[in-house]
Amino acid sequence: MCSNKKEETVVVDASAASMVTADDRGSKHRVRHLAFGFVAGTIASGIYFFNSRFDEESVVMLSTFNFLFVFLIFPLDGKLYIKMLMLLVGNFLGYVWNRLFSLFASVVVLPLSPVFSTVYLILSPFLNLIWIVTYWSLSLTVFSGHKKQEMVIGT
Amino acid sequence: MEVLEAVFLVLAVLIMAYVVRHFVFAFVALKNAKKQDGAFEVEKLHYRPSVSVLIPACDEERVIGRLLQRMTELTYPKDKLQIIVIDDASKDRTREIAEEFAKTYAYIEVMHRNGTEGRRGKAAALNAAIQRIRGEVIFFFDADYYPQKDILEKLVQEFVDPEVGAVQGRVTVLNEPKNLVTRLVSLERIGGYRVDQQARNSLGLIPQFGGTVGGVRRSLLERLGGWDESILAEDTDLTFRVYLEGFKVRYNNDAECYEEAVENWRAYWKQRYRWSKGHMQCAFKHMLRFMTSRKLKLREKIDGLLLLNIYFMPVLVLLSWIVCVPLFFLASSRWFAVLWASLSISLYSFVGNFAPFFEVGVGAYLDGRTRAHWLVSLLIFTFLYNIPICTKAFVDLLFSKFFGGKGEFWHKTVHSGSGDSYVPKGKVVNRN
Repeated sequence: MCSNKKEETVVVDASAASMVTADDRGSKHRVRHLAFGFVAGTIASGIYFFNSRFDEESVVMLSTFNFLFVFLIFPLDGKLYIKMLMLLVGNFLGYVWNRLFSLFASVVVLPLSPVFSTVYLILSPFLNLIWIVTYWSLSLTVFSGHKKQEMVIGT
Repeated sequence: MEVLEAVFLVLAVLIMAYVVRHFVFAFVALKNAKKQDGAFEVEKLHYRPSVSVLIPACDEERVIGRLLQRMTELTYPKDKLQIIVIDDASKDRTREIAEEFAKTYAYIEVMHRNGTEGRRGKAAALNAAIQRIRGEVIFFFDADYYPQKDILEKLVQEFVDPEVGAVQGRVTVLNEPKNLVTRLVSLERIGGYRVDQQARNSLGLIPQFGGTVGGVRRSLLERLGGWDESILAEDTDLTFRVYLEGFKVRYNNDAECYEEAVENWRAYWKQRYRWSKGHMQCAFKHMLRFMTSRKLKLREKIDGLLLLNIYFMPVLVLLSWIVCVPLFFLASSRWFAVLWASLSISLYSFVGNFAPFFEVGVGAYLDGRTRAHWLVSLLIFTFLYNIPICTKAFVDLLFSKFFGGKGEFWHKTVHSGSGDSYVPKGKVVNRN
């Protein structure tokens, strides 16, 4: 009985130690990804900020996207290069969206009545946010695949 | 002009304060996710005080049987269990169904209230049962809920800490696949519980007691004088009274209970209108006392202040939109455009239970949901819907404060019992 107890204790300790190591490793991996993402996001935001082709709204929206994406996607489990690729695609998508938006504003909205253009100006940041939310939430799907689980009702 | 700019600036700061608060919650939940996985083992728990479970029910014939059947399947020792069904003047078969269970199971009791005695509503029904309670800890379940078999063991464990006055478990939507409304409500719940409540618990802030799937110490409830029947959000009111008394509320994410969510926009309006008005009542009632209390830490005061005022936020967002119109005409300075663009994030940040889109997304990820994310963009509709709900609640409350109200009317949520089709006992249901 005594020896069994000893063995059991050793097993428990070993599994606890391996859990701690795995946890530490996971934590380091998350911090490393976050650091890479932060640098990439800051560079991208800096480019928008110092580029005169982008208006204030576009700079704010694209920086918001980078900030959100980096802090809430990069700490997730998954490969770093996929995260970087998705950040790049997101920035490209955001750039295209904002260009289309400003073209739409200058060609369609502004020549129309002042009331319509005011409504547009008020709503445009909100409409602009839609691509951020959609892209960010769809990105989560890519990383949550491995966490798919089933719920047992009745337990 | 300067006045408008100052008003806009103040509104922007307030809105951003909430967005940052929730962003911190999302980040903390993500950071601590690994630590919580499997951190709870029922076998290790030995604390088994006597408990009383209160089930207020009014016209719940479609769901009460399901819950009472579940109560008989709880793994908590039956000799330490008392279940009281409070039939609040039901006009349907609620009473008969409950009495049938009471005849078979000695630990189930039924009490009746007729429509003429005292106030109507959940708080009044719960107060009516206080005299009959024998347990050291009191738990509450709404009639449409369906808890895990070992939920009481999980929840009761929190009371080992003498500082804990109340505990809250997690609510998950049972009828999620029914339609778009139930799916969106489910997303709100995921963000609100898995991330928001969990993060507040981890950070030592103010997790909210939700009035159901939770418990409170009987001694504390007696000291507090029971429930305040004049408040529509009796759960929020109790949360703040617990803290003002020097106790804490704890949240246990592993103690899961399934609820039947509202199934159409009309029911959604009625439920949220009651919540928002009740929450605003609590803000008026507790704000000053809470901020001046010596029993609370600074971080609890700040979080409590933000929590108390959260249902005012859709109203303030609406106000910021109104203020920005003349500002566009009068002068569109550079900082104004930048601030306005930054504020857009608020659009997705005050939905339903005020879990912003990133909290919902992170919660769904932590729950291992794969397709639920696809609906996150649609949360814009629930937020837009919450603006008139909260604004009407605010205006009505102000009117009743200044001109005297007719008394608060409890709009009961109607339950269809359709969640039954997702309770195949012992079978696996894929939520993705």
